[in-house]
Amino acid sequence: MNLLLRRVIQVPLVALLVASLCFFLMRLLPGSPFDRERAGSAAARVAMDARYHLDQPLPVQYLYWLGDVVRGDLGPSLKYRNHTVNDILAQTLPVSGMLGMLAFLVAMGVGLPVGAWAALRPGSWADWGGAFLVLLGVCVPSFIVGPILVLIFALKLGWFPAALWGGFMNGVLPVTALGLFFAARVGRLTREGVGEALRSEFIRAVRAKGLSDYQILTRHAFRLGFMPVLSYCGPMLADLLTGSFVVETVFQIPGTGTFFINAFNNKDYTMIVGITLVYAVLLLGLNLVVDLLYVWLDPRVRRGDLA
Amino acid sequence: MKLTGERFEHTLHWMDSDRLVNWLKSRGRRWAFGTLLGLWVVVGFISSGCRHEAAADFVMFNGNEPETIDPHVLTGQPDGRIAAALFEGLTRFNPTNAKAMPGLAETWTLSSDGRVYIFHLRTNLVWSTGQPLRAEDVVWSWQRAINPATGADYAGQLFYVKNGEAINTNGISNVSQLGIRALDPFTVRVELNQPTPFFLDLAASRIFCVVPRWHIEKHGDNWMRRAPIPCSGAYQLEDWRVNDRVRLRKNFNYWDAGNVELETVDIRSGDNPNAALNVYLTGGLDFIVDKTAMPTDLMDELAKRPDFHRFPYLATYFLRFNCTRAPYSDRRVRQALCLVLDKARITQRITRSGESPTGSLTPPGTGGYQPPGGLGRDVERARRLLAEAGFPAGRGFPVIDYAYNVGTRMHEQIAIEIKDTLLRELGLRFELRPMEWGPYLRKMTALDYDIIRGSWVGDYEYPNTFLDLFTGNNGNNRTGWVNAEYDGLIRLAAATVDEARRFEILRRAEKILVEDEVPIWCLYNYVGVFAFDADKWAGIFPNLTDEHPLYSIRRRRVAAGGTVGAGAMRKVVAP
Repeated sequence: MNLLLRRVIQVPLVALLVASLCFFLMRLLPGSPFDRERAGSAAARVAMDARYHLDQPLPVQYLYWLGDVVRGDLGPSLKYRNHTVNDILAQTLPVSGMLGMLAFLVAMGVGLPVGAWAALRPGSWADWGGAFLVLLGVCVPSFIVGPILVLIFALKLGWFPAALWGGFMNGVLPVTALGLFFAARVGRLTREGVGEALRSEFIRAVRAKGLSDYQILTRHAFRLGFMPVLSYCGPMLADLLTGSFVVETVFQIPGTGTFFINAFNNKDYTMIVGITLVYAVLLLGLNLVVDLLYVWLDPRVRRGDLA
Repeated sequence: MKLTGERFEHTLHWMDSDRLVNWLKSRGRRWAFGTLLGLWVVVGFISSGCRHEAAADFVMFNGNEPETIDPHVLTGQPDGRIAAALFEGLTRFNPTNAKAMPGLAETWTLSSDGRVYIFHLRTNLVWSTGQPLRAEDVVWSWQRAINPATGADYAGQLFYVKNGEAINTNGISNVSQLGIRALDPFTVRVELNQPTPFFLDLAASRIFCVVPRWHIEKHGDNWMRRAPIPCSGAYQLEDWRVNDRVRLRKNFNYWDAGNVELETVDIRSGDNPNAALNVYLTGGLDFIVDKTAMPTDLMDELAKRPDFHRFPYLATYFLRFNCTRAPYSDRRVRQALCLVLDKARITQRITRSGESPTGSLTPPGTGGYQPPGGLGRDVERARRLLAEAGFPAGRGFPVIDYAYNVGTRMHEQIAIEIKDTLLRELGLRFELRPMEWGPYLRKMTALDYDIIRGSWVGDYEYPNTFLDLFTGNNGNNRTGWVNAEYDGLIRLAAATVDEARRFEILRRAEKILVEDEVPIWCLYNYVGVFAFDADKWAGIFPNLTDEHPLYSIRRRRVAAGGTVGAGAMRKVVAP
């Protein structure tokens, strides 16, 4: 329990450390969020700096920021000045999250069967065809897959909207573009995992025991073969939930990924530090959950045998 | 996370023995559980993804996500389009030619010396939330805009009003010293520093818009986030989903609400022109308004479509010379460089939207003004000038450092064209320095360049919006070039009431700028581009300042004997 408590307390502390580091690193960069093509009046610039405490020494700015963060306020966005960072995250995280979760379902729904099918027929056309598709999925980036999907299914066939966010139909193409890449990886892991399992000694043993092919597959080969996929789920989910800059840009989707990348170019200090903080909490949290699952699953970890 | 052998085995161990597995052992339960879970996930996502909302009457693509729609603070064009729908000033833009026509003010008079305007407000003015809108609101709004604490980048537009500059630059701390007073609830008196022929056009722009005092005083910086925002314009803000869309709803309290047809308008944002184009081509958008929202690579192809419209736009693409750095401090060097480029190659082969090559800064015809022709192309003269300056055949000339901002490939293609020309014609070496936006701006402001890319978009249709830039103390000069004669002519023109004489003086000034001294190297005048189906929509017109107010847009209805839309339009825009 001590270990658990320690880990739970660690999450916000580590996240805060990461965000603080980000805070100071961003300020080291030259430039200001208020650089404009047109020279505004110097007095206006002074007023803006004062409003956002940018005229204060860095440690004072940091204390202001820290005070707000402790109260759950990530501050106003310096670029999108009618919004707070909280507001933008509250609007964009669900979009990225939904896109990511649906892409996750696509990845599993396509990757698992394709991989298993290929593994059951090693050396057949299905195996080679599957391997080819997997290679294609891993190698062809989503900024190529995306436009190709748009060209075929939106511009030629007119089945789905070409871009923008809105109803369910808007989600189909981006989810596919994002999901296929991960489906390819899942497929490859499944193909290897199940193939490996089928070749192992114990399969011969259970076959000798008289189990049917169906039982061998569902009870033993698949269960063992899907293990590598399970462990890949953690990082995959983290990748998917934080938003994909590429897919969000190709399909013009209002997710967090775009804001994260653009905030850097915009020198939007509060935004970039805020998103970093949230991402850090998310990733650390996911890691913690995975580790806790292991503790729960494995009695020896619980006892500390593996410590 | 790597799967170690040990963990792998332990997990397997659990899978065979844990209680959960035992519970799920019966296949029936397992299937039921799995199916339920799957259904729950899918239904949850679909229901959260579907938005049960009515489609808007009109959907337009507006380019980048607005940074702010506070009319006094905003700088971007996409921001301004939304603000202009929500807030109005004493005058508003005529959608056909972007000239001022009566807005909140119904009539006005100008004193004989051209310095004092008396504006008479309409008597039926009401905020969208029901409160009356009076002269005091106008006065307070202008005072807010000029107040340095507001942080308005465009406060310079109010410097034409008496004491405006002194207040904004902290010479005067009392904003009530600004030259605007309410004579009674329906009359506003505005005092200018000098006769300003374009003042009425200026007064239609964003920074002169009237904003709700009580709402802003109550909520401070958060006033745009507290619904309902009291609006003075034709529309009110219904909903704003960041980086997605802004939904506007007709303001039924607007003085001209009877002539506003579209009840709901969706303004969609994004920075990917290809995505916007695809959605437009598949019928998801009615109007693409922003030129940056169209892919330049496809411009000549798109221009063939009947629904893509191109028109002259009040903007110039030019390069700045660093006049504080040798050898660019020598005007013969600057002239020589400007003389060699074939600008038509750039507009025909690179920009390809129908831009016109130019030798002057002010686009021809701006407010009726004709600029001087500029230097033209004369390679022999260029070589002679370069030799006179001490660099015969380019010998001894340092490598030219040319900075430009990345983001659009066009700037790079233009840079390469210049590089080739300079090497071929003058034997000069030209090095390309692509930069991110922020560092590029800082380099320009700090005069840390040899030659740097620039452009300028006019704020109002009068030559001063361009020529004022290169006066010695203008913050946007950024060339280090200061010329007393030029500054004197600009001042003299400002004090001249007669327009013909004024234009003559401005032409003399511009001749210094683009023929004698050339601190800038003008390449071409921009064109504006927008896309909409003219058989379906009326009330959108090409104009020099790219102003397309929503209040005039209407759906064409085909009636017996022709279209009704066009006729209704004429009625609205008659000033």
